[in-house]
Amino acid sequence: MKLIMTKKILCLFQSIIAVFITIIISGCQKVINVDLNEAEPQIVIEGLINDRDGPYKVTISKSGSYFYQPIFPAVSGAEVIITDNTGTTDTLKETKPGIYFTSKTHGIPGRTYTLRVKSENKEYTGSSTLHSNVPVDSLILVKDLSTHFYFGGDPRNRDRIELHCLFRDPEEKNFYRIKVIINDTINDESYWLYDDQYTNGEYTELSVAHVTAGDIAIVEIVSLDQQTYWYYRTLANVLYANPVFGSTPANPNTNLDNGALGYFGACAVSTKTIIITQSMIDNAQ
Amino acid sequence: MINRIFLLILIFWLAIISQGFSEDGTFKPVIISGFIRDSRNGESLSGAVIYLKENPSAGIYSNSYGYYALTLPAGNYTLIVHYMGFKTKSISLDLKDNLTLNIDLEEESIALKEITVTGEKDNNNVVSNELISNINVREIRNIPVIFGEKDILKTIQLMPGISPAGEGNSGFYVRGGGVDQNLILLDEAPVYNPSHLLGFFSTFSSDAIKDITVYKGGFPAEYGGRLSSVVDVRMNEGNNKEFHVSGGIGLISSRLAVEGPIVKNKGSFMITARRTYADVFLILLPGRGADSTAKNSTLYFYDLNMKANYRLTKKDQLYFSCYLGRDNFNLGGNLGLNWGNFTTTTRWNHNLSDKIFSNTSLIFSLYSYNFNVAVESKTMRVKSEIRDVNLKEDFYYYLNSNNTIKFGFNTIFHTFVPSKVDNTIFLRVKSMDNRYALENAIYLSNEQTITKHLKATYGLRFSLFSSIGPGTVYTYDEVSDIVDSVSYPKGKIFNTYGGLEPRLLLSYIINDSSSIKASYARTRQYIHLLSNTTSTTPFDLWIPSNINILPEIADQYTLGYFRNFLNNKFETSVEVYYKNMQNQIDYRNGANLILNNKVESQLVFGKGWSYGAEFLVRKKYGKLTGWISYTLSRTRRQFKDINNGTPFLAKQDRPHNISIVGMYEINPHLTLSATWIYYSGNAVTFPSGSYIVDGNIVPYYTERNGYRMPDYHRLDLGLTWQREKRKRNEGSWNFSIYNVYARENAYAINFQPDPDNPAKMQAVQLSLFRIVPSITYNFRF
Repeated sequence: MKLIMTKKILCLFQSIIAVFITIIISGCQKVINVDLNEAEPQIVIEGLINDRDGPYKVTISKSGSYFYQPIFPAVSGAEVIITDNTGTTDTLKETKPGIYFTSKTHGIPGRTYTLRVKSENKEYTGSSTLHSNVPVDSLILVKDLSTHFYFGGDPRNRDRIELHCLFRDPEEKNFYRIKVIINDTINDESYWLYDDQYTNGEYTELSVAHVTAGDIAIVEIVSLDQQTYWYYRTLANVLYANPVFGSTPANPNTNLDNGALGYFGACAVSTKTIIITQSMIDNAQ
Repeated sequence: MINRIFLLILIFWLAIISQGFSEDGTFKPVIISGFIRDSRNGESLSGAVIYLKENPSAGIYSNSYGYYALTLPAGNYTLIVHYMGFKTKSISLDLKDNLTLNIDLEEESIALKEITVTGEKDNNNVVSNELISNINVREIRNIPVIFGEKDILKTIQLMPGISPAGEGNSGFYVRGGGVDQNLILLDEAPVYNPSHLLGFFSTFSSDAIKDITVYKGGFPAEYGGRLSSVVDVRMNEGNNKEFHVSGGIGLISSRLAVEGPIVKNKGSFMITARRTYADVFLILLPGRGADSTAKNSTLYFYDLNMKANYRLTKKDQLYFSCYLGRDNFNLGGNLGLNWGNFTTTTRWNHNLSDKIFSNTSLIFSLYSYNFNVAVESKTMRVKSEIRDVNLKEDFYYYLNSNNTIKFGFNTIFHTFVPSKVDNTIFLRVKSMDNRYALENAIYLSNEQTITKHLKATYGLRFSLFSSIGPGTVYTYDEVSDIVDSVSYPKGKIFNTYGGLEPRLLLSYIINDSSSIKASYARTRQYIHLLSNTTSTTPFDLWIPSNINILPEIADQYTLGYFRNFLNNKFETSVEVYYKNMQNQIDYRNGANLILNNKVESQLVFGKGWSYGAEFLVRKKYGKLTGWISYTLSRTRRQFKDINNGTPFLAKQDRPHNISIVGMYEINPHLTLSATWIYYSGNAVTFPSGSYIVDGNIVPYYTERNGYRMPDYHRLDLGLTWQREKRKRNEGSWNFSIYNVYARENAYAINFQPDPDNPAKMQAVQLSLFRIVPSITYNFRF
């Protein structure tokens, strides 16, 4: 079993510099008024197909302003069609404003799905290939090493327990998003993204969350295609941008054309649930 | 065919420049040569003007080692030697034979200058065939800088065309170029990261520095390797007449300098040391007191400069200079980060004849940073380095009083260690491959006085850059996957790039107080600094050119008008420039540069261009001295993969940059100084809207760098009180206040949810320094 910590290193680098800066400066923060332009509302299309039973949802809305209580109007009456490479064509039905559901589409690993949206005389398309399902092999508990780096502060957090997810990575190029839901709330590290370039074909272990006794944790391995993986990665960059050490922000790389925001993805999902008991914590390595 | 043309041009050129000989039939050339020195301590003076009263327009300059050689027909002359801050010397000569004439100049107070006889040649800025930013190191002593530290790199940022990268940012922008496009040399050794504490201080301790010459354009052919500027810093050699100890004790750092003769008048040495005790700031760490983390932490930096020289024979002089500096940050004994530079320069000056002066230098430069983490018995160490071994040869051939020829070569062997990982904790993190490269250049140039009104410096530099094995070059496709890789064995040369770099500088001297200067220079840059963070960090990566990263090329054109008023009391200038840059680097959306062996796949390439107008008014003498500089400029970039291929403003675009510097001598013991800086904020990318995806409110961006950070401005004041001189004992107190009106200049702007109303976003500005007072006591005996 191997420990993969690349993401942790980046966090560590960044947190060190952050502490460094905090120490050096007698810095101060204040809320200021920034005059932002109001861009023309852009169409936002969000569609996700997976290999579980349908129906699958496509949401279409418009972008709004940045500061002033933005309203994101739903886009109604659009023509939304999903086709796959075997010829199945599915015209989605709008059940609520801006929300369209499939009826004939089935998410099957290996197939390529194409979304076509026609709205207000403009057409937007995007494709995604559903990759193979990668099942969660097991979930285990491990003592968190990195608590030893914790710089002062709450001693209660000194002994944190990590939840690790183990799976076998297939021999092809794989991209993953790991979703963890603890006690019915999605863990805020919701863009835990991983690709197999260093561990292709190997039995992989990832640290995915911190848990305490009594938690109910559901871990999902979402197997993505390269485009969707890059979308999430560039989306996470924008959402969790560090103003000091971050790079210049830009809109996420989308597979949709014609200036649409959002994305269309096809993924394979596998889950496993674990209920954390005190005895499990005591036996953690 | 090309070779024949070159030969013809060479012969033609030689014929022209030897015109100086043809006038008098009974010509017997006599050579006066020697060194110009400071009479007080024997330090050589570079850039002193030497000319004949009988022929004032044909002046020559002492070179970087203080050497000059003037060829004249035999006869009677009055030789005049002039250097800013020193009394002009006038020597009567009856020349019959070659003469070695070493001249010692006496220092003079600038304030007194006004009262003494004026009409001296203090119009160097007008008549010299140079485009340099002239900073007198003496003036720097009075300019207040943060925490009372005198800092030459911060002071040059007060000149037109040179703009600070920002508080907390090491580096500066010269005429719209990036921070890695400045060649910073300390006694000819490149200093890769001349900053401490993320840019708050520079590594140049002013005690150790003698001269600093800055070229923003019109680069002489002997310099190359970076596109935008050359900052040539020379260390003091040390007093070769008597011993002195000097230093200072301040709130944040202390310095000590020792200098003296090795053999009186023949050799000397100098050692300076500086250490900060920024550990003081550790009290700001959260969780202090009960927690031992703060107690076991350290934060400091130090600089050590050393130089020794010895005159072996009348024709030979040896020098050795060395610099060592380090920043050290250690948290609770578990986490450590340190970085710094180490340079050494070994030099041999040799007179091949009175007319030919040679300098041979062997230079070593190392920049490294180390990051280590220790948990119980497990440790992880990451090291990153760039090492240069450099052999440099420069010849100065003083052909005649109208022509000074310079030629030479420079060869550098670079070793890049992007990251070497040594770890037992994070088993998956691998080292990146080392890279090796050879950078060579040869040059030839002539500084010619063509007529009484026209001077020209023209030259050609040819540079060549190759990678050397062992090494592997990967080729990537659009999704950053490797499609091909070629491996080279040790010693194999591959991926060679190079080309010509023509340099031309013309000065048309209208009269003693006004001139027009124009220049053209092509420069090539073969190594690049990769950094996609808004703030510079020690993790920024230097990387050589190869098939994936082409060398950067710049062409710069300048035109300026220089005018002095009131007998050179006021210097003014207006200069316009246009700079075109090719093969500029930027980063893909979501680029990952840290510990990434495929780092080149994260880069995108395009072009940049900048243009502007620089204005300077300077008062050089009197009780009040100082200058006002104003730069109006634009810098743009265009990349196929960014902003849909449309041009956008570069981050460092600074439409307005104003510096006002004043020093007022209240009485011989008290000097007041003030600096006011203003510059436009960086061009930044802010959202112009938002939308919902996956349950998140996501900011929507329209164009790159379409917004601007708030403008930056601040006022610094300083007061220097010089105590009465008792025998050899001197002392002075320096009080300074940084950011007197406590403006909260924006360091970063972060958009985050309003804590009172999470559905709403707000902009939060982070600023670094408000008002920072400081006291330093300086002593010398």
